[in-house]
Amino acid sequence: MSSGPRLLSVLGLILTATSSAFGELTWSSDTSITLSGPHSGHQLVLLGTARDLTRDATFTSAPDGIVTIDSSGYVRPLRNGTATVTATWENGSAPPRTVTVERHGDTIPVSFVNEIVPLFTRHGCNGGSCHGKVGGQNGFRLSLMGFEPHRDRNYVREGLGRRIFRAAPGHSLLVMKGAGLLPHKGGTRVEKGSDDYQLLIRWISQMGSSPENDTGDPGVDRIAVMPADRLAAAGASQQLRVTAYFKDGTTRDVTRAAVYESNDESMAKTDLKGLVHLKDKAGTASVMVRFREYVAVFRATVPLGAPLETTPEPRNLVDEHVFAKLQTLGLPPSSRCDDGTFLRRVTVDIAGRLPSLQEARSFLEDQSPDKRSKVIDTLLESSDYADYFAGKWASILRNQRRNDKHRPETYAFHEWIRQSLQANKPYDEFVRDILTATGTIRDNPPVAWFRNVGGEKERMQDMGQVFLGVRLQCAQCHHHPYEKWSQDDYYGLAAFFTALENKQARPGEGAFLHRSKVALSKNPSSEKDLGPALPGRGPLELSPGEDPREALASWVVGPENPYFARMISNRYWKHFFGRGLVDPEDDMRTTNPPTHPALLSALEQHVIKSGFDLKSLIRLICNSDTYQLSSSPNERNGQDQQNYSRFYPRRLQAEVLADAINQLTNGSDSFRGQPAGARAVQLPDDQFAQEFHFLAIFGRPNMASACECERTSTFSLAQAVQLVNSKETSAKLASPLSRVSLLLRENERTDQGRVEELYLRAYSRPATSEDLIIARRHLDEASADPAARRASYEDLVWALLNSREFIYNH
Amino acid sequence: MDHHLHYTRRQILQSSVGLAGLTLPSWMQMQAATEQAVSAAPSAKSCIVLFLWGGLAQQESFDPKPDAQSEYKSRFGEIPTATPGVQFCEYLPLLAKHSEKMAIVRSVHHTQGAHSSGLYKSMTGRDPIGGTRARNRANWPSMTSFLGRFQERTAGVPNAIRMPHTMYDNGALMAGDDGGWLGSDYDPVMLRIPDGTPYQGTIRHTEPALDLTLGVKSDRFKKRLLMLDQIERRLTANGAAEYHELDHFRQMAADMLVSSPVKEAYDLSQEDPRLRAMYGDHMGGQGMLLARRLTEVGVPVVQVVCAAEDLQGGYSDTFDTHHNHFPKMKDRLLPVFDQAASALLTDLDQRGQLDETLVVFLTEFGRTPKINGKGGRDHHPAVYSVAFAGGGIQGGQIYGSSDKNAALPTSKACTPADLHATVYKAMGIDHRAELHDREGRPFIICEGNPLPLF
Repeated sequence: MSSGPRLLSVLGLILTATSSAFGELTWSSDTSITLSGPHSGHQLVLLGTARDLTRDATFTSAPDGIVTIDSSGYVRPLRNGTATVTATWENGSAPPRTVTVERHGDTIPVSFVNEIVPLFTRHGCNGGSCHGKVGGQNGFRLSLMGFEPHRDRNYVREGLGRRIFRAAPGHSLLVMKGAGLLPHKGGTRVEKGSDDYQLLIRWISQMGSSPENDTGDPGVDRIAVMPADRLAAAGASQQLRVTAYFKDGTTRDVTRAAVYESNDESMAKTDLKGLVHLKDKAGTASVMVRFREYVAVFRATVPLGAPLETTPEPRNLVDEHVFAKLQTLGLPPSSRCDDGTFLRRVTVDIAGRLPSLQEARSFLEDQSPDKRSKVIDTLLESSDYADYFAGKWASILRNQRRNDKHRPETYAFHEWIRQSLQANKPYDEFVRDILTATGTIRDNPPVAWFRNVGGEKERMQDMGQVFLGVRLQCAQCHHHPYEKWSQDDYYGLAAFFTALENKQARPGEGAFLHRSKVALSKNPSSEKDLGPALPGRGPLELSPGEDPREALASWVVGPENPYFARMISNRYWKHFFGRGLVDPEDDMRTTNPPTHPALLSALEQHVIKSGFDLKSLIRLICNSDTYQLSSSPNERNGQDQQNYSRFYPRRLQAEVLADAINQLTNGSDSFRGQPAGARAVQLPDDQFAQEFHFLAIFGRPNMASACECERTSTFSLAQAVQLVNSKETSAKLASPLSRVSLLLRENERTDQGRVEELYLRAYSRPATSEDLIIARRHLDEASADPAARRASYEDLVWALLNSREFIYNH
Repeated sequence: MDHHLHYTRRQILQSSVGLAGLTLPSWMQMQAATEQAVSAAPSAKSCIVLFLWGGLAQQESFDPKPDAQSEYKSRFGEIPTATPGVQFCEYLPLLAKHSEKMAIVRSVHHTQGAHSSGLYKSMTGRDPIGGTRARNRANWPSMTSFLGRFQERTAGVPNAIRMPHTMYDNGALMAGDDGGWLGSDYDPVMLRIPDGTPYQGTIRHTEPALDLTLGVKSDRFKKRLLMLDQIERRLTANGAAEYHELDHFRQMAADMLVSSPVKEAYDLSQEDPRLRAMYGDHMGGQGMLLARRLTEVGVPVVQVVCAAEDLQGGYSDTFDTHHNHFPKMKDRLLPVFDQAASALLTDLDQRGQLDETLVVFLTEFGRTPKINGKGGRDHHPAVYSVAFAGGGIQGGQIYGSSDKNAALPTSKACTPADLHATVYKAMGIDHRAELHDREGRPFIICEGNPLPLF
């Protein structure tokens, strides 16, 4: 591959290469490049239409001796002057660039914040599992990821003379250990002789000389990565260039000072020089680039094959975006799923239960072309929808009982959520009602959220995570490592909740009320008392007695808040697809980008335009062909887990599975304090998993966390044992009221008729001829003895409820 | 945690344990996925953790203090052990004969004085930040969960087992005893001890245990599996990868229920009655016997709680002896423990398994030097004793010391994290292996350093 350009180079044809092929090559560098000081450098990046040519191109500079360019396209100065750099590849070349070298003879002070701290970060020294953890490692501490360089400056100087040995910098403990020349638990981080090694030596040898390093650090305004977005082949690599823009208007190439992290190591790997290696997996890989506390993201999309000739006709905006990406990726979608599968899927996802026998029969018989849309509407109007989604919300709003005295309160809050959903209360009102709730829980149930979530910090964190998809927890102790959130943002937001008090309203009943005290919260790092402040807006002006939560709620749900509509769109998307467009669904940040940014924006716009109508959002999602694709992979999309080329099967949730087993077996479970016949999806608070182990084993959340991840969706050994050998299920199969008893009691029915009913109940689809053969063979093996016949029916139902098709929503 | 999900899925894909063979035990070895964590060659293949719930008095076990000042002085005497110069409490006469197999650590200390935080600290090596909340997936994983996390998965054999119940304090379930942020896949599997006189006090069995008793006859169960296999085969041609997780665990469950080494091991009636008698006719002894049988069939880690489930303010059979410390230790607690633990060491030794089986004696803290007004000793995390035996540990040694009243360490002070690092070392796990928690934050699994006991 690289022999071509080398040959050209040898033949000296570079400068005479014709300009006819200019269009094929793109520089990602500026027209003119300045290298200031003897140790500066600049990363060249040369892009072809289809791939990165940086390592394949031949770079030359004229006149000789001013700069040198290595095989990775990195330019270093040799002496002051101006050179012209040319890049050629095969028979093309790119427009020349001018490189000016200045101050080559000067001693440029090493910058602690821009060079040394990033060096610690690049080599993992200040990571959370090493010297960056609280208390440091083996007596040497650094601030986490270098977010507090002023502290690092003191830390490295502790024990001066040992850690830092100015007279012989190479003998400093810092250098000896870092280079692995002395025993170091972290191993060799910085190779002796490498650029970074020499940087450390240079920095130490300059210490104490004036001017003091960094006195004039202008501060970073932003960083940018080039390229930011690429379509690339599987197995290809891409060189990145990172530029820091300083507040004084200067820029610097920080490609070799930045850190690179792939969000999925199975898709892309990175190295310290900003080279990204893509693997053989189709999809979108993201690489987070960090310099100091600033981040940027590079995204590479790897197609599976050639772009598709055709994709199905989009049914709505969801399909437009999803199919467009499938087309680019060359990933053919599975076919549309059959009617029975659709009915079961959508009933589980909207109503949290299996379709009834009657529902399945009439849906399969219905010949109208819009029957799928109609069933979506019917389900959304049913009380089962409200029951099911109330459970979802009760969990993330942490409706924990904790004490049996609280039962009326947890029940009231659950009922309030249920009714709000049933009435389709606009989502912004729903959230405003919670955030500004005042009074007693019985009079105003959303007050319960303030009891469930204790303390201003937790309330603020939950608010961020649940309604905005922003995890502010990190910013409690340090600058958020992957985001812009600072500690001041954290405590400024927490202050909104500090003027709330819990007063005795009636005996045994508390009321949450605003008290007319100045709301303040202390940032422990700066020890400053902060009043309520919205991120990026500064402190809030409040009139005396005004509850700051009103202003907070207006900001949270306001149309200019970029996170609010986005979060609910993403949360509901995940509900129906098992994966968020941003995943985890409640961790939105620059460095965790969506797989389908335009789709997420379109959903967001839909939510805002509809007036935060949640049912409308569900309707949009469920009516798409994307949601209605089959889960069976075709020859090419079996590995796809993020592009929605097929429906991804998911295990039924704990409550839904418990209820489904009852639906099939005609069984029931009893829950303490609940009316007979209550279903598991209707349970109002956290209490029931402890008495009904099935729910605990299958991961019903304890409602202790604002994260939906508290719900287990994975499989475990205990679950499998429960499914194949549970006493409860055995009792349900054997009961005189069981489905088997009922079916056998109907003397006039044939075995085939009974089997057909069981299949419709379990899978909402007709039994195939193969299904019938398997079942008949099994039933025929049993003797005519009634007990044996009954047992073989029980075994059939056991097998159905243990099958993949039953346990999964597929 | 995507990290571990990905890991599990990859493992399962590699395992090729399909549905075929569902009806028969298939002892297929899963591919190793021990990642970078395997460090040196392990000296132990398996680990038995004996947890002395309630807080074992160091004075009345492995660190007797004949010279303590009068109001601190034990009412028990001390006896010589097989190791010259080393003494145990007089009510551990059987264990005293095994001192040549044991390394006693007399200088463990931490600062968590409540059962909840002390258990958390002694099982996770970490201080509970923000309180202890049971079943919270933000909790730090227990040492036993990490041990299971780094083992190869074998069909039909769980990676970690705990028994006979989880620990409680006055009705409140303790945190720090499960997989925490590793996820439920790594929660040690709960088993009951099927035989033996139970501990006195509250045993509510609130945490579900794995029941290996087949609910139907074995033939019928096999018939059901056959039927299920036929139903599933229709789907295998177009089955999505998402089903592999179910297939994997269902296979393991079926293996365990029909006939797996674990099920066999669980049947204590297969053991020689004389050997069973040697362990003692008490749940404490039968539990240790069961632990030996489970490690023998390949379970890498088994934790046995040597006490009742609920501390009940010290009224149940637990080491939380705030009152009537001496009669209770002498009559109820130490005899059962002494007989059981010494039988375990004898048994492992006679089978030639002691060298590859690490036995660790842990407790959440020690007890106060001063005897309180109710004839009891209270919580004392400032110094306490634990012990190791087998698994490459050099026996007959004492590590560290405490002062004459057993109040503070006087040499080689160490922490629970150091004890864990020692266990990881014996099991061939790099205690500095890095894993990511649920927030994606990188952590090394253990902040301690291995003690030089090998």
